[in-house]
Formats: sequence, C-alpha cells, structure tokens
Amino acid sequence: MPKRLINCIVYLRGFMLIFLFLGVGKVISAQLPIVFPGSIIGLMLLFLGLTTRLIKIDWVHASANFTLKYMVILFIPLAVGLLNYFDLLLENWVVILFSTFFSSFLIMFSVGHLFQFLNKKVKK
Amino acid sequence: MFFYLALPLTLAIFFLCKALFVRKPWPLFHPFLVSVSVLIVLHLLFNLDYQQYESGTKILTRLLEPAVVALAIPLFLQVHLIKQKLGIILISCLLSVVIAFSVAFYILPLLGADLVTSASLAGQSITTAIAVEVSRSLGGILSLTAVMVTFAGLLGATVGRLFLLRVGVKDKQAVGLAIGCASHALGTAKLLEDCQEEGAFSSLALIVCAILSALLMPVFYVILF
Repeated sequence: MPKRLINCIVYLRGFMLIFLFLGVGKVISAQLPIVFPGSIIGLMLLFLGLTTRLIKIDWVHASANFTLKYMVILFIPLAVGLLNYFDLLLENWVVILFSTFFSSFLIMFSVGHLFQFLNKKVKK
Repeated sequence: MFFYLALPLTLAIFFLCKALFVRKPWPLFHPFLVSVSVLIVLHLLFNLDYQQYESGTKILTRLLEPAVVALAIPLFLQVHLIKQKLGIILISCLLSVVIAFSVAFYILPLLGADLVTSASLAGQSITTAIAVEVSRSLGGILSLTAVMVTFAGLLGATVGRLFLLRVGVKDKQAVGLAIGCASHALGTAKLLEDCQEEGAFSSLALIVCAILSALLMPVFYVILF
C-alpha cells in the first residue's frame, strides 16, 4: 500500500477511537445525577485504556497531536461571540483586569512556592 | 450567504495570522488574539449577522469535545512523572483550583461583579474547552470565559517565568506546575519551547487542574450558593 494511504488510515483510526470514547463518555454523562461533561469522562476513560494497554498509544498518537496542534482554532467562534457582550465588558472592565492579573499572579506565586517546598521534602 | 463564508473566512484569517506570528513572534500577535480581533472588526464594519456566523462555524465549536478527549494522550505520555509525585502534584493543583474559585466568588463581588460574571471568570486559568464546560455548569457567559482564558494564558506565557524567578521560585518543576495551573496550554506551549522538564510539568498541571475544576467547582457552587 502507498505510504500516504496508510497514513490516512492511521489518522482515521485515531479519530474514530477518540470519537468512540467521547460517545461512551456522553452516554455515561447522561446517566449521572450531576452535571459533568461527557468529554472529560471520555478523557479519563481513554487515559485508563492507554494505561491498561487496551489501547495502543500508536493508534491515537498522530491524530491527537494533530488535534492539539490546531485546537486553538476551535475557540475562535466562541470568542468572536464576545461582540454581543460589549456592554458587559465595559461595565466590568475593572473586574476583568483585576481578575486577569491578581488571580493569575496569586496562583503562580502560591502553587510555585508550595510545590517547590513539597518537592524539597520529597527529595530528602 | 454569510453562513457559507463563515468557516472558510475563519480558517483563512487564522492561517494568515499564524504566518504573521511566525515572522513576528510577539505575544500580542498571538494568532488567536489577532484572528478574533479581525473577525470582530469585520462584523462591526460590515454589520455582519453574528447568528449566521455562529451557525456557519458550529462545527468548530462542536469539535471542542473530541479535542478534550485527545488531552488523554499527553497525560499518558507523562505517566511516569505522575506516579512519582502524584500526591504533591494533586495538592498543588487543588490549591490552584481553590484560589481560582475563591477569588472569583469572594473577591470579585467586592469590586462589583455579579454572580454571572463570577461564574464566567472562575475557570479562567484552565484550558478553554473545560473552562467553557465549567462556566456552562455554573451559569456563566461562555464567550466571556473564552476570552478571559486567553488573557490569563497570554499573561503566563509572556511574564510568567520572569515573575516566578523574581519571587524566588527556582525549581524547574515548580515553575512548570505554576504556569500550567495559571496559564494552561498557552503557558505550556511557551515553556516547551525552552525546557522539556518545565513543559512536561506544565502540561500535567493543565490537565490535572482542568479535571479537578470540572469535578469540584460545580460541587463548591452547589454547596456554597
């Protein structure tokens, strides 16, 4: 078989597996009493499948890399939807600015120091 | 008419912006930020109908779900690191989720945010796909969440490492974990350019934080509000 065709099949198999796990995740999510995204259940199931070697990493590696490389495109329509909320942005610009800087720096500072501290203890 | 143009237009603009970013890799030229700005300006200039744009690009938004499932692969590739330090990674990421939730719901209201705004901003530090799900389950505005996530990501990607060094965090694994917690995939991508070890811990943090947020934030919300 030509190499290109094999490549196509490898990608197709990866995407089909990813969609399969998403489907199973969604079915489980629909049965749960709480709101929990089916996509994350799919993520955890696929991770479980990989660690138990039921799913070989080669089956999904190429497709996943492709997906993650272009993932950012998928968020563009959502962000463009912001133009419906200009009033909200103007009204809340103090909160938004504060949240971006304060929250991010506080998280980096606290997590950085906590992990650095705990990591030293583990090493000893 | 615009319905059929929406998807090709979005892709064309994105790849043009990407080409620009390769030549001029300034953080403000991040392809996502520029594409979104260009599209918003086009909408305003030509009075385009966002409803049509939204339905024309629905496929992209739908594909977010399988993209989240695909995050299992980088997580699996880090599995040896996780096993070694699972406990302290979990504690650190848990702290991050608690801080994000507390700031959004206890400090932002002091500045005048209402419950919907707080809900939209609570997930700003986790990867967009899951931030959007968290925002949805808390009753936030998805568009606002998507943009806030980008702001947080750009901040960590640009000044994150510098800030951490300034405040005395020198452990490479700690730097990675901190930036992954605060700035998800954008921060991780930046770290991966310079250091594999930082990048590995950063991608680990982004996944663990995302899962913890999706599991815990709706529960916190139901208990506290």
